Amino acid sequence: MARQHSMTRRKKASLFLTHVVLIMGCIAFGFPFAWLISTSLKPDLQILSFPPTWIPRPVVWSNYKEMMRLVPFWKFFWNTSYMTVLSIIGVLISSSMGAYAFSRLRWPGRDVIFLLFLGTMMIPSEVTMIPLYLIFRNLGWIDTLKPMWVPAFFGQPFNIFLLRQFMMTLPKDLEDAAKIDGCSYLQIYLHVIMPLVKPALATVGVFTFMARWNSFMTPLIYINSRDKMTLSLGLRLFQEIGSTQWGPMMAYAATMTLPIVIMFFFAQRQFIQGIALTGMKG
Amino acid sequence: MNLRRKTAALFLVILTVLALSTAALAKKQPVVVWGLNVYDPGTAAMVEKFNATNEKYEIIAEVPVGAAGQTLESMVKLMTAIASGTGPDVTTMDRFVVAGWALRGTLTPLNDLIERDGFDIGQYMSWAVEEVTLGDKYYGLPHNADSRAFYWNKDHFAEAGLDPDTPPATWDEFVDYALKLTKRDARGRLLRVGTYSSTSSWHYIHTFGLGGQFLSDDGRTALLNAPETVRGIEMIVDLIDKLGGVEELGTYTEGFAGYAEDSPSNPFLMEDVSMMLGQSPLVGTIARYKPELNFGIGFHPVLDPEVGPVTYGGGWAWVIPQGAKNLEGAWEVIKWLTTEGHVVRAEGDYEYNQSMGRPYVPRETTNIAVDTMLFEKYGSMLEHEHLRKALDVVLELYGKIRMRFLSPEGQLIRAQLSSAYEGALYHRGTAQELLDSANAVVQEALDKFWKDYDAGRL
Repeated sequence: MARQHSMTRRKKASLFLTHVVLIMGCIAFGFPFAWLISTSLKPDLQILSFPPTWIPRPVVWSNYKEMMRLVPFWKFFWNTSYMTVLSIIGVLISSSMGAYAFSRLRWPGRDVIFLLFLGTMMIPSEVTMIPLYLIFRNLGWIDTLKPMWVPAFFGQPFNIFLLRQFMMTLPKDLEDAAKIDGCSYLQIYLHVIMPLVKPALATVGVFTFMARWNSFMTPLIYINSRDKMTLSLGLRLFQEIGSTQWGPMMAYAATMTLPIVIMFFFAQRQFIQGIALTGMKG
Repeated sequence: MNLRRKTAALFLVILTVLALSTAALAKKQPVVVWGLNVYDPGTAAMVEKFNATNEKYEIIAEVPVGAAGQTLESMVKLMTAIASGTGPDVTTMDRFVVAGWALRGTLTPLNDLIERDGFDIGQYMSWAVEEVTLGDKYYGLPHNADSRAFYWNKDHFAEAGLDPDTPPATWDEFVDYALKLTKRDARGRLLRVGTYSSTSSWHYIHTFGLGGQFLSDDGRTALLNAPETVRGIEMIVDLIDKLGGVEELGTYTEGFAGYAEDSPSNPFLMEDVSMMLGQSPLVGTIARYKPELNFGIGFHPVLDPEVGPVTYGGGWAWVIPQGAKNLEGAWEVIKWLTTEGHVVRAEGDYEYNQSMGRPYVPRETTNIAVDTMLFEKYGSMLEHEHLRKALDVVLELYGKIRMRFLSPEGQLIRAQLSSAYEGALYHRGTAQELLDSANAVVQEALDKFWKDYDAGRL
């Protein structure tokens, strides 16, 4: 009885400690976001104040209004959404097909090609920057959004690797049963594999969303015209408007971050499940 | 068809041709400009005015960010665009990289255009013109400017028993004041530091102030380890050590503050640092966020009486890449942007700041007459007298500016100097050792460049 009581106490203490660590982690990760929101609502002179004011007095919404007045936020938002959505579609289709071929189909040289494919992840982007620029220029894609989303339809090693690992854990029996029922490879891919890899697809989707939404370097290189700029490029504009416009810049950053937060809340369960099942850690 | 009908038809054809050619002539020629941020109210006003008043050309503002040809991605973008014939007619460029781009044959020399139009290049500050000149060729028109000014907090001076209106005149006095102004609590923790600057180019002023330079006059020999630079860095290291060392000072000043001159949390504005070498636009930041700050501004203390007071500066230029599709239009645009354009931009900025209820301090240009006019006009509108006086000092600083370095390896020189300076502050080696090694790296790059250049391989 006493031993049981002691175990319960130990369990409670462990649970308490876990919660303390998690709460501290939440505070640490939430701090910059809270700071961002708070600063976006501060009047000019409170941005300077030290010790810092956490709750703006008064709360000013004018930074949001000013931000919208200074830059065409919704135009940038549309451009970013357009290339992000197309990229996600492209990545989900091409990576899942690639992963299916590398994990479930048997063909000569499969593993060697997969290794070579993985090896391309080691090539620094700086090395491919100029050749890629030249290719896209020859295709007439400079100053268009195409370089940002079309490559997504041709597979991406990291995502293929992630999905392949997940697909390899699926029992072979399911596929065999489908074959006996007369399913083709495409039908197996569509009706057996895809429904089972939803958590991993959600993970890939969220990763792609975050990468494209925040992507700065690629739009910077390929976009010239103002009406094709993305949100991440737009953020930089605030630093180049005479002197940095801190309030509107924070308002812009907060608004730009919002879709990521919303996306994460919606995909949270499947995203975490996907990470847990594929053994990936952020 | 009778004669009357034929004549009428011919007349109609002539009229149509005339109308079409007039329309074609009336259509303005586009001039693609990279680096004009039209979301900035002043710049927007500038572009709008040019397009409204120029009958022949129209500015097409593209690439508002990342046009400078300085960072890797912007270099790739600009270089590849120029090489593939899709480059702009005009682009902005930090002046210290102009030489590198020009020597690689990517920029258009402007001498013929300047001579043809009798354009007065002397209207710009001579040091800024030097930064865009190679041999006898001009590769751009200088645009904006900033200099390094010495700021001191008068209230802190008074509190420490120092004369608030008299800044330190010599280095020894400066060290003495810095120690007197530094405050610690009972446990020895820093409450305020006499002086500190996280800028990695603080020591440039020492090299110039002690009569040194970073490169030989022909630009082929690196002089990074010249005695003046070694001595200059040693002086700063010695001072920082006396104040508590770079780690303690760095932690103290950077833990919660940004050093950017337009940051409201700049430590001089936060009154965490009593004396600082900062960029001249800091005056505008003070005017906006803390106009009542009781501060003085002037030259950095003299390091060698024979050299006298010096400062150094920098800024941007407008250049015309090789292969510009509209050379004449590009030339018209850069002339306008660096003369009348400044005035229009200042008007736009002023109106914007008025609408936001903020004071307006004009941005510095390299055009002497324009600068004087703008500072007089908008400076006199400032409410606080000490801010008005500060602007007078900023103008005075421009008379003593030294150009940093003009080299195809300007970027590398800057990086190597920063690395040696930082290494010395953290005692990773002596200033002499670190600068020797930095000099070797730069010399190797220079040798390679000039070998290729002389052999016509660039």
